This record gives sequence, C-alpha cells and structure tokens, in this order.
Amino acid sequence: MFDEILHRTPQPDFETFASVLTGKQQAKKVHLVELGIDPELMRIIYEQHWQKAWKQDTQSLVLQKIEFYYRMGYDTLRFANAFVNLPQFLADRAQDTAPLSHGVRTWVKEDDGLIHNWDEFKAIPWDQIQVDRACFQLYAQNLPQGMKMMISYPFFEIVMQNWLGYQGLCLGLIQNPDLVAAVFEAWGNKVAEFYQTWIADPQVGGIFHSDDLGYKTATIISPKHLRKYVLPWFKKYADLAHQHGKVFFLHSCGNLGLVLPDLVQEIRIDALHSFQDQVMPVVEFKKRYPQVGALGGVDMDKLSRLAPEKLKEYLQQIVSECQRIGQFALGSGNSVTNYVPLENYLTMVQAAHDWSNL
Amino acid sequence: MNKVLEQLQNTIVEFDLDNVADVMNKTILAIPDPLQILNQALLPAMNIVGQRFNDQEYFLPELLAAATAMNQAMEILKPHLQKVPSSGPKCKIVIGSVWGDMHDIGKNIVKILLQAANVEVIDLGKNVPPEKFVQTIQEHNPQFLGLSALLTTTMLEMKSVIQALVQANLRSKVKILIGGAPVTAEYAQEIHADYYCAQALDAVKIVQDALEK
Repeated sequence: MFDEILHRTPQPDFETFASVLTGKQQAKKVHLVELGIDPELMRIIYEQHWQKAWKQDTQSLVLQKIEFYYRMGYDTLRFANAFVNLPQFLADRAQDTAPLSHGVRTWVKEDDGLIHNWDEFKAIPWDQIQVDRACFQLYAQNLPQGMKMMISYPFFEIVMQNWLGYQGLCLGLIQNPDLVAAVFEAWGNKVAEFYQTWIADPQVGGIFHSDDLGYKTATIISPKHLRKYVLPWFKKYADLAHQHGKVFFLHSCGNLGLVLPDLVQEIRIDALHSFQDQVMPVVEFKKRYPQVGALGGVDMDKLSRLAPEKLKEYLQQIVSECQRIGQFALGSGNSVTNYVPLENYLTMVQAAHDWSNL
Repeated sequence: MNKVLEQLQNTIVEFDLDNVADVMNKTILAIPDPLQILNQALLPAMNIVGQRFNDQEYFLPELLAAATAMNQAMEILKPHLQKVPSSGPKCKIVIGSVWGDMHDIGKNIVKILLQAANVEVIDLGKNVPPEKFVQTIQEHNPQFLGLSALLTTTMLEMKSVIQALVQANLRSKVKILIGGAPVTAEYAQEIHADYYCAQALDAVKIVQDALEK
C-alpha cells in the first residue's frame, strides 16, 4: 500500500528545504520534517518493510536513524547529543501504555530539581559539562549527500525541569530571583557553547532550538519573566545561526500568544514547530504569519487517533492551505511517538508524496 | 473592609510569603471569628488571584505563590476553624494522574488551588491504576474525581478509570473532571466525563459552582 514511499530513491536537498521555509524559493514539493521519531516505529519499518536487522548498539542506532530519515524522504534530521558529564537528572519511570511500548517510559521528575540553593548551584561542576564531540562526528561522517543536521538542545526546559524543578522555578522567580538568574545564565552559556561548537560545520544546516514555553492556555511563566531570563538567549542563538548564514527554527509547545510577536520580530525565527489544534492550528498560524515558516502541523491527537481515511481528509486541508501560503513543511505537530499508529504515520508521508506529484 | 482583613488579603494576593505567617497571626489576635477571616479575607483573596490569572496579569508562578501563601495561612487558621462547627471543607475530591502517566505539574496546581478554596483533596499522586481510584472512592466517598494526563496515549487511561467505576457501581456517586494537555471537551464527552478543565482554575470553579447548586 505504501510501497512507493517506502522504496523510493530519495534526493535530499537541505538547501532547497531551507530556501522554501525562509520564502526564498517556491516549493516544488511538500517537504517533510520531524523533530523526532521514536525508534520503535523506525524499527518496524526497518525490519518489516526493508527486511533489515535492527541493531541496538549506539553506533548502529545512529546509522539506522540516518538511513531511516534519508529513505523516508527527509532533508534534515536533528542532532541533540549535546553534552558529556551532565549530572544525573532526577527521573520517574512508569509502564509505557503505548501500542509500540518501550516497556518503561522515563519521565522528567518535574516537581523537583537538583538546585535548591546557592550551595547546590556552586556544587554543580559546570566546567566539566562539555560538548560531546564523538557523537557529532558519527553523524557528520555518515550523512547522505544533500542532507544536513539541525543542532538542538533545550535551554528553558532544562532549567525548569532538571536544574530547578518546576515548583522551584516558580517560587524561585518570586523568592530567589538572583539564584534563578544565575542558573539561567550558567545553562544559557552551556547551550550557546554547544551551538558555537558546531554551527560553522558544513554538515550543519542550522539550529532547531527546542524549548516548550507554553501550555494549553498561556505561557508557563509570564512574558515579563520570559523576556528577562529566556528570550535574550533565544536571540543569541538565532543571531549565531543567522551570522553563519544558517536558519534558526524553534520548537515550542503550548500557547505562545503573548510572546509570538517577540519570537517573530525580535528573535527572527525562520520557522516555528509544534502546533496543537487546541492552541493554534498550523493553518491559522500560516494565515497570521505568512512570512514565517511552519514546520509540522499535524495535531498529535489526530495523528494518533483518527482513522486513516479521516486523517487523509485532515491532511488534505492542512497541506492545501499551507502549501498555497508557502514556507511550509509537513510533519507531526510534535514528534512521531510510539503511540502513533504506523499506518497513520505512513498516511502522513504519503500525503506529502501525493501532493508533490499532483 | 476591616484594615486587618485587608492586609491579610493583600498578603495573599501579592504572595508575600515572607510575611504571611506574621500577618495571619496578627489577624487571629485582632479578629476572633475564624470564619470571618476565611470568608472575608482568604477566599476573596483567591478570587482576586484567579481573576488576575484569567486576565493574564498573573501566570502559573504567581498563581502557585499565592496559593502557597494561602495554604500557609490556612495551616495557621485550621486549629481555630476546627473549633467552629460546620467550618470544615465543604466537599471532597480525589485526584490523580492516570496509569502510565508521571506528569503532575497541572494536577499539583489543581490540588493547591482546591485546598486554597477549602476543598478536601485526596491526592493519589501519579501513575495511578484504575483500581486504586475505585478503592479510594469506595473508602472516602468524595463528591468529585479529578483525572489528569499529559500524553494522548495515557489520556486513554481516563476511559479505563470511568469503566472501572461503572463496573463497581460507583459512577453515579462522583462527578468526574478531566484535564491535561491532550484532553479536549470532545474527549470528555466521548468518555462520559462530567466536566472538561482547560486549565487548573476551571477545576476550582466547577467544584465551587456545583456546590452552590
């Protein structure tokens, strides 16, 4: 049923992909993009459709990921193996309820972080947290011609979830703003160091910064706090990409309403990723911001739960509207998780293929 | 408004965590009726906070800080309230993140806000199996059940909880509120939940409104 998309000879072309997203060029096809694809889903395609053995060692996982993105028709994939010597962040584990279960799903321990006071802040060996060079080379040496990596690592999320914990951040913003500022500063510099290390590499197409700033109805912290602690770092990262003639994409879930103008006008994001129909459907975003690229756009709930025929109708509406406006690449609203049915994922890829061949 | 009560109200609204205990203790000395303190200063303070949140003047950190101040004040007031008949929590709610789901920021905020609204909250935590919800409802007989989920895959467990309640003949005994990132009003309808909460404060409003009916 999906033979054509599973067994084609791809011709990745990151430069065209970036030109389309930034409006320098009209799209001649529907480009595909993903922030991430769960390995369980890749593995099924790899084993059942490509008849290849899936291996679990670190090197094989990287090579299989690259091959998967290449063969499925992507122009880029995300590189997020940023650091070595990170401290063990607090985590929770629970049974994975997805159809393609991991067995156990690991969750960030949200309510508590590693830093509660200045002593704990000073005890973090910041200097020892270093950019992971080995893993980058493995990717760079194995990328097919035409494909490029987008480098990516969270800033705000790591401070919120791992360093301070959500409640620590919230109360810290009010009771201990100097400590909060110091944590943002320390981690902001680390993420900058990661981006500075690789941005000039010819295999890197740009930065795909990933940081959820919102939830369903508002930003997680106030726009005032975001403007003070977070957005200046986004600006630095975006400027770095632009200074190297590369693109800056932002993945950010949730309702960004009050800071969207900052992201577009001040930070000058080239494209936004993460769309939830409950918050702002991708078509609405494209109508409001036709000059900003839109990445993905297929609502996770619909991708996960619609019957394929209904999903096709929904995809048709997104693709026709967004392609008409331009600066668009199709993909999931967040990532292709292990609870997205394989048939639905392939239906989405097929929709891009069909539209491109009209 | 009485100046002492006004000061207490402002302490909560402005989430003055360093001074809330002092102000509360002074209020108790000045105003002998704990119900008056609760009804004329503390609960109205949280209404103001809720309004500021709805107006996007306050965000989650401010909401959390104000609710923390409120709960600190309530801890001091509680022994005094216990001496007054019929001053305890007006209702009870069991809450939890469903099986497979370890996300609880939203659920914890709901808990803090409900407690601040003088509702008794039985928090089962996260990754709660359906049978635990059933058992707790049997034991505690709450008026409400609140279910939270972050992911589409775990959201589906909400339906399992409701089915388990039906099987245990408990469904009609509790009103069910659901919320979380992937949850929609349509999904609430689909699984026969009673209420959909788009945000934490919706849960407080639903519980308060239901009690007034």
